[in-house]
Amino acid sequence: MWEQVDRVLRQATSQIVDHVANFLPGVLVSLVLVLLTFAVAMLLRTAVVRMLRGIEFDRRAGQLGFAVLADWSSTASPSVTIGRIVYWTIVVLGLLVSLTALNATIPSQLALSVFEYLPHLLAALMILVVGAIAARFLARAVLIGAVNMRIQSSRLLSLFVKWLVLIVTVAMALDHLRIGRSILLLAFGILFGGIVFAAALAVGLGAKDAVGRVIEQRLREPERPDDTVNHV
Amino acid sequence: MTNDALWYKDAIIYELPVKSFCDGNADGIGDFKGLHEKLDYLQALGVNCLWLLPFFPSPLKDDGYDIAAYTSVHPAYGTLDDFKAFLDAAHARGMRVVIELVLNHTSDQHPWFQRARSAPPGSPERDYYVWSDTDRRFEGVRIIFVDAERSNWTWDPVAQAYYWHRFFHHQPDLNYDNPAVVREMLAVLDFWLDMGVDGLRLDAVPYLVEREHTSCENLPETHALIKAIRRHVDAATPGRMLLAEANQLPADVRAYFGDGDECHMAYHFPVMPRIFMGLHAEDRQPIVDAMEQTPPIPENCQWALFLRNHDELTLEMVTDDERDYMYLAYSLDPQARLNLGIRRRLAPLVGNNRRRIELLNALLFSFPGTPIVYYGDEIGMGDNLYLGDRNGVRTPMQWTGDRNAGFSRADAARLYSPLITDPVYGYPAVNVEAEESDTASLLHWMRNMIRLRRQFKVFGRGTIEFLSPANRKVLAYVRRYRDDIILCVANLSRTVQPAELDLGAFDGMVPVEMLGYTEFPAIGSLPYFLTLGPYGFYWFELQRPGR
Amino acid sequence: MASTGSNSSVRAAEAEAAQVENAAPAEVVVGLTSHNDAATIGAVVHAVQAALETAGRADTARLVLADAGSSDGTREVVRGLVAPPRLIELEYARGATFREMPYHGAPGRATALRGILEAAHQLGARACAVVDANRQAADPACIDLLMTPVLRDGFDYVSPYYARHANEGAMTKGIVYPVFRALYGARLRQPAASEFGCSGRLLSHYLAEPFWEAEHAAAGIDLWLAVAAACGDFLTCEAALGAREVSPRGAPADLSTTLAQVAGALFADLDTRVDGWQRVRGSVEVPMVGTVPALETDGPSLNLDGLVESFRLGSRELRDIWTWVLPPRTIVELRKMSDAPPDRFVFDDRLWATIIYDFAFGYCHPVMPRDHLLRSLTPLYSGWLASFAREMRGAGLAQADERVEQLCLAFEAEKRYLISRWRWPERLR
Repeated sequence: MWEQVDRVLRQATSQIVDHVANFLPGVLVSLVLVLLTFAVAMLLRTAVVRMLRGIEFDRRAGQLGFAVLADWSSTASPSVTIGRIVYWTIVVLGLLVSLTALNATIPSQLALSVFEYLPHLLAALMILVVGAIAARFLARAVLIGAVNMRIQSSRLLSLFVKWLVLIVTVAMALDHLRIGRSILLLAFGILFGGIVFAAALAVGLGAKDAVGRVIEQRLREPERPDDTVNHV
Repeated sequence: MTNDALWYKDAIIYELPVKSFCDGNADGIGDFKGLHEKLDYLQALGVNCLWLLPFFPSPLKDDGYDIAAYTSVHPAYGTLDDFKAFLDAAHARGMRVVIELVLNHTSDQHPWFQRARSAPPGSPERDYYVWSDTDRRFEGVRIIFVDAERSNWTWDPVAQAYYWHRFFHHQPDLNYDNPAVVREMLAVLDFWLDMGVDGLRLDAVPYLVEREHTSCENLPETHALIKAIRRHVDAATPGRMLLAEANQLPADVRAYFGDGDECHMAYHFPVMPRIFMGLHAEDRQPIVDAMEQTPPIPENCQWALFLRNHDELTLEMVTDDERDYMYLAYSLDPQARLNLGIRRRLAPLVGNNRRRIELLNALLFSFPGTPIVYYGDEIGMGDNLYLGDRNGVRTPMQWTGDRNAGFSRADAARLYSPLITDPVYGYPAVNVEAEESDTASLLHWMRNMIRLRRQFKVFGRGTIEFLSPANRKVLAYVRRYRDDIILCVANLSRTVQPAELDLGAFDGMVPVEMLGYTEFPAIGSLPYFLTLGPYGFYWFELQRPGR
Repeated sequence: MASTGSNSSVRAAEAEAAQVENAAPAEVVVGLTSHNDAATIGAVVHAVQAALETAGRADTARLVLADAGSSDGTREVVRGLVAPPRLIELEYARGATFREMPYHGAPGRATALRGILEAAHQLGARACAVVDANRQAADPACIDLLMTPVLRDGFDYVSPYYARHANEGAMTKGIVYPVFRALYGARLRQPAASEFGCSGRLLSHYLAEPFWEAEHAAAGIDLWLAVAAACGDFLTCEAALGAREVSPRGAPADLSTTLAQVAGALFADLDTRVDGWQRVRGSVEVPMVGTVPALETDGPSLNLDGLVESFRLGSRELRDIWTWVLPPRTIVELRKMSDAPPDRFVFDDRLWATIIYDFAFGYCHPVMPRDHLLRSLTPLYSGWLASFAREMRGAGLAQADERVEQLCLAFEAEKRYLISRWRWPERLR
């Protein structure tokens, strides 16, 4: 009996040792990876912050209206915030990579899907920020431009541009996130198609005469006299 | 930046300890990275010269004035590269940078001292410092830090001798009779000037050289040494400025200008306590006396004026009666006294009265000289009397109402000094962010005043004549430079005051109030009558009637 | 924005330096600026030569041609008429790309003028005249007027004065001249014209000025030269150069772009010269040489209703933008105006002056992109122009000048408003 016990114990021990032997290199590799990740992340963060400081990003960001960035973390400057984003992105990615090294199936699948998704998330965020700034800037530019071109419904036009940019931005962001792609496409198709169709109908049926008059005037009438005056 | 060699005459200097300004690496201590980030704030404030307190490697027993290595940066504040980056960024914004050069002494940790104490007596290494076998040499020389030191000599067990020190016992005085020391210091000077530093504040200059049977202050040998330094600077890097810190009577300080061949600038110590005295006594006489006793200085020289700085409001240079008056008036709390002075910031000194703060700054900006603004005083920061020595006025700059006042992202416990948290001056109430969003704040007022002052060279370069209206509560003076004539009138009292000014010399001219550009009635042959509100002050441009 | 490619400008500078160095010293330099002006430049060169001949300076004069990369043979026309060494061609614009077309249609103008002035400086010229090649009537007497006051009477800067109809050059009359005069104290009525004469002393002063590389220098340089002359210790005079008839260069006709460039150039100088203009009080008359001709034809007419309508539209839609720079009092005043019937539409001089000053202040303490700010001034300008043109209907030169004088007095009176706002700014919003 003792022999049996001894054998079973030996077997169990060797099994555990086998398991550990199988597992240990993975752990080691993943540990190394984790360490490397932190090192790389820190290096990159320093590099990014240095670079941004070098191009005086904080001041420029303030001028460009990247106040959003500063609002996220009130104590840090925009360049530090960006540095932090870079740092954590790399840390998360590195941790996921190190999980795959453990040879566990579930984490590695998770890691893969997150890997695929992450760039889209970042891109979507970027798009939203840039879009919001562009919408405000463009709306004002269009308003001023339209007023100077004496277009009566300037404000409408400016609002239209603002919302158009915002909607397109949101749609692009959602598209990048692969959320409701087909619905989005459909909705946009219907919306734009509808608008264009309605406009065509309106011009063709309702405002036929008005449009005709405008075109006629354009063709016949000489330029408005005040356009020929030299202002300077 | 202009290439004007006299730039220091038009400067507005901002004094700051790197340690206290902004922490860029979240270790609880301010550093060059943080300072670099805040340059835009300083540019918006309008100051065009920064004076940095010592930032060299040091055991920090005297807030950095005990230097352990002259040509490098204390690791807590960053690296030499950080300093260079900061310097370039400051220059790019049109700001000049003045740093400290502590000539008189080093830290006892400095390699020179470590070498000297173990070198044999009489060797050149030993002679870097002043040694003696007894503590009876140079008897009768006064002790400056009376609260901390009993003698100017301290026994060194390693060297088996006494070493000489005018300040703390851990700050042995260098021996300028040793040519090697002079050579070493000139090399230090060159190191920083070649890097692009625009000026050097020479700390404790009166005490450089010691001679038996003298006070060991302001000796001719000391002046000769400074002249040599000036010649060296002018030859190698012209356009740089030397600022002498000589806490002496104006007549003695005058000597540090030489014939325009020693220091470019020197502090005007006596005027500062007398401004405070005049304000408290509601009498202009102390101020007028101080200014009129000021000796004339060479054309290329300039006084540096300040209301408050990193040291105590020093009362060494006033009479005993005046000192008693000042103690009674401004520091009934004995906790506020240190050595021969009062260790408080501007706002608490004047009871946080906005009008008094404005009046004092208006005087500072309109007196002949270059004004120095101490960090935090532009937002009316308070102090902490319960921190030892002068640390109560060196607390972290208050940027926001957030954690650690926006000064640092470190743990609050890690900060080099606790923040001001009392309900009146605490950072939730007094901070840059809040004052920036409020156009009526002291910060905005300071910005406007600084910008206005910078527009008129007359304030930095012009002459001054005091008027003598019968009402002694009213201080009035005329500044002139080339075609510009500026009349300044200030009410030192807390109530409305009338003033009849004798402006006969300006008959027919029109005073235009400078802040709002408002024309006042033209000056006639009768005395010019003005009414001033509590602590009110006016700056008038005297304009010739319509061209 | 004169942005020549850096390589090309370096190469050009070398070539030009060689050309200038080899030349003998000259007493007078006439600079010609051109850009696709083949049709007019021949007559202009003839006139310049005639003027020099008459004055007996043909031998001691040099013609410096600064051509902004013409593609219609402008250079060839000049070469056919004058030969080196009398002619010096500047190579500043070869292969250059210009990012922004200024309102006057001559890209890279700052570089051109700098080249001319540098050449004149190196040749040791006592006087330098700059003539624009697109003037249609080239009268030798006019060109002489740009040089003689410098050479004979000791003036440093000769500013042209063209006889123009009341409605012409309204931006100069309503904004540039009044602000220039109130701020810098010299009554130069057309400080931003594209022709001028200057002395050797002023020349060296110009070359030391920092504005050559500044932003928008192409559009602003002419004005900045006049400002520099007025701010320094220089004698200035006006020369009556007859009627100004130029062939358009296909410059952007868009009113708001022109306004943004002209006003931007004017305001950009405020910040840098703050020490100067805040001390200037009142203004001094500037002597005039030559005689102003009577205008023969009628001036162009304006669509007043359209202008008023544009103002109304602006005050309805751009109010939110204006509140960033204009104080509430002005906004209320503007609303009252836009409610008034068209025949009673009057733009008060003082109101106009404070509006311009507010925009100048807003430009120097930016609260929004500067281009937006300047363009949003367009409806206000339209409104002012409508009011001005209605008042000036059928008026002659003298009447118009008198009216502008009145306007200038309003600007001078309101200058204290600008100074007080500058010195003690309240937050814009």
